[in-house]
Amino acid sequence: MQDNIVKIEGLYHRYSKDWAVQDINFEINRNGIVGLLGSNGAGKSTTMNILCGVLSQTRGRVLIEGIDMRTDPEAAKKRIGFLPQNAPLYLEQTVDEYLTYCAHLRLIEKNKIRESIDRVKERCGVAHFSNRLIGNLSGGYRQRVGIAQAIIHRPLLVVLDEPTNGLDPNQILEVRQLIKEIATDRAVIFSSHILSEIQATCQDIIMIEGGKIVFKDTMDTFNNYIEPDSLVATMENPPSADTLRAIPGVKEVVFLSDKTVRMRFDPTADIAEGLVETSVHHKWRLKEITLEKSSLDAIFAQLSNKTAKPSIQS
Amino acid sequence: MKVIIRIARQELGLLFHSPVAWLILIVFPVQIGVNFLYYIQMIGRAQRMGNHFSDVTAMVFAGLQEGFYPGVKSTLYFYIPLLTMGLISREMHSGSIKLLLSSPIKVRDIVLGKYVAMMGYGVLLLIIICLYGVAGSFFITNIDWQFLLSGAIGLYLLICAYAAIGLFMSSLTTYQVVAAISTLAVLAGLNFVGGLFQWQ
Repeated sequence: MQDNIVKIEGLYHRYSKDWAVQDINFEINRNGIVGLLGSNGAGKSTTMNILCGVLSQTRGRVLIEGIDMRTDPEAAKKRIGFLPQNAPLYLEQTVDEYLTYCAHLRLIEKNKIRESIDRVKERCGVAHFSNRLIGNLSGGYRQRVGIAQAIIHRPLLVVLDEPTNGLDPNQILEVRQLIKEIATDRAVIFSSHILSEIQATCQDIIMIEGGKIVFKDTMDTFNNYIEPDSLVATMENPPSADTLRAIPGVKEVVFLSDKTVRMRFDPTADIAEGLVETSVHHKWRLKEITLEKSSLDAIFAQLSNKTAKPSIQS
Repeated sequence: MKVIIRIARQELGLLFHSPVAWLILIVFPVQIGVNFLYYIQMIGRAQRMGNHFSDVTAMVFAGLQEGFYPGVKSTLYFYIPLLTMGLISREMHSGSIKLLLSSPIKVRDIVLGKYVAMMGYGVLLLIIICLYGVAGSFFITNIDWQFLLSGAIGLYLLICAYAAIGLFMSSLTTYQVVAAISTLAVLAGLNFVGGLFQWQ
């Protein structure tokens, strides 16, 4: 039987009296990006630090390709690349010097070090900054160097703790693209407290709240977790609210403007077809229908037992 | 072993990226040099007054209460904390310790690497100390090299012992200044204990 890439069993950790994470169980069996989602202080970084052997857990087991992190940490760490929340960079060094040091730390054979450095620099788009001091690089490029050190030894699993934190929108897009490229031939665990971030990059999602896993499944399942139950329609000649309420399945009608109306409906009824037919019949001149899906924020809030209004996601 | 050497090289590199290492290499020889000149001048003055001496090497380098080597010994514990304060606390503060801890190496390798770096820097201090021995040979006829050598080795081992204490203190805090002050306190305490109940 083939071992899982990662398997975490009954993981507990506490810094003081209270548990920072408790009963964390998950496994990753395939390449691709797994999103670790949770609000600040939910236990994401603790889980990742334990997973990478930086922190020793209070209880539980972490297996990397079947190797226990506690009993054989060197073998397990060989299979992992880690980019912590603050990239572990030495600002006084050049990119080449830093990556050479990392290559030695990751026990890459001496004759393969040069090739490995060139490969990751090319892949992370920092080849033209080889001799630039890391301290003189922008935040986005520093993050790229951080990612480069995490993949320099071709690990089976790359763990990235909030890699897009503090970057501008363009840099975020670039780093996301880079992470997607990296994930083509290995498993990547990627944490964020920003829901759209996870949605844009991940295939699977693990959600942590209050130190516990509250949801783990594929992104598609997560997106469908809350069924759509409202739509926004734009009409040139909208009828009165009462007329719309008369359409079978419509439960509530709210006019957002003269021509735009939000209708809450029974998820079991096919309201769209009824609305289109009625609109044609009465010449309401229906221009647009947007199905409102509960956003990740709403799901997040629901799973976290918080209240939040669903927002529009077309 | 290779990893230990690599970590030591990295540490020494970082040390010389900061002005502290350079500054000590400038201030240390000046401070002990002033001390050295004092003893040489004192002997010279006495000689001009018609006194004759024997065992001059011991008088210059290690008098019973004072001398060049005891002087070096009492200056060392001001410098070593400045060198060792950042060894681990800097890495913990900046988060770069996670790079080391997530690498497939033992914690032992990290600690030894840092320690070897300090031993390397200690060699530089030893060379400076030895240069004063060489300088002494120009003034002292039939200088006792073995005596000088054993004293220098003793001082080197003292540097290594101080560095070990500094490294340990550096691992207890994320603040470099706190590491330096606590190392100084421990070394001062040990120096104080050395003189307790030693009536002569």
